[in-house]
Amino acid sequence: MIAAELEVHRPALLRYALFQLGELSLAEDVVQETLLAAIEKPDSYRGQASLKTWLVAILKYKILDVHRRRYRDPQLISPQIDEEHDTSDFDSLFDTQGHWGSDAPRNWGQPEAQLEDQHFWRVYEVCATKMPRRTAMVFAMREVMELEISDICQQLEITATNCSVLLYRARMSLRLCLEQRWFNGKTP
Amino acid sequence: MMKCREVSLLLSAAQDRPLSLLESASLRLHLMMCKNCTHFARQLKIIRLGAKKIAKDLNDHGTDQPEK
Repeated sequence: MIAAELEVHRPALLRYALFQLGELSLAEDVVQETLLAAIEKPDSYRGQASLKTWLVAILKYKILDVHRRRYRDPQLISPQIDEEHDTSDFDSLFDTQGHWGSDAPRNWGQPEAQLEDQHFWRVYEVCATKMPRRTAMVFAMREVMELEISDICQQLEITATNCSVLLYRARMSLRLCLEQRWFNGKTP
Repeated sequence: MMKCREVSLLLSAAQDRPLSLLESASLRLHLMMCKNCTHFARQLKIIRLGAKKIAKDLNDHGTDQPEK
């Protein structure tokens, strides 16, 4: 295995790791470790899958490991909100009867139209970095790694209810951010 | 009759687990009458597609050989 063969894949691996981890230095470390592991253990590459697929598998394994450790890091626990249990910070979106208030969801148009828009995806990635760290972590595990709730619960040692709250929070934050930064003024 | 707030929680949950018969029936009933929640449901779909694109780009970008 020569380093140059692996190096080609660094940008793609880095972008993925950055979305998962939210911090460039962490993402760079985990990608570096992935490439080093590939250089040190070339025997574990059997050549059945593409080299890229093999690297991605190593990377995902390492990212999960980082998620497991970081989820319990007190520095990442938001002081203002109880991310795992409470969604009351979204109360203001609803009126006293529980109906959508003045910030009601707008029509974003058909998904197919957004898929073509590069700028939309850049805003999307920016918005993802605005989420509280642990919320973003669970969102990335669920939606990007496509893990089942039961797997996420097991990895992070949280309950399914915690998981649902975190995912609701993630989706609500993302849609609010996208609405403000992207859709505002675009649709009537 | 469910309120939009509960519906938003249920629509999010529906992305992660199968809904019960009662849940999906009351959801459908609400969506038939509520434009805002219908928009919210579509937003959730677009948000999911966005995340899938991040995963897809990892597999597509800079490949050294054609994907099988």
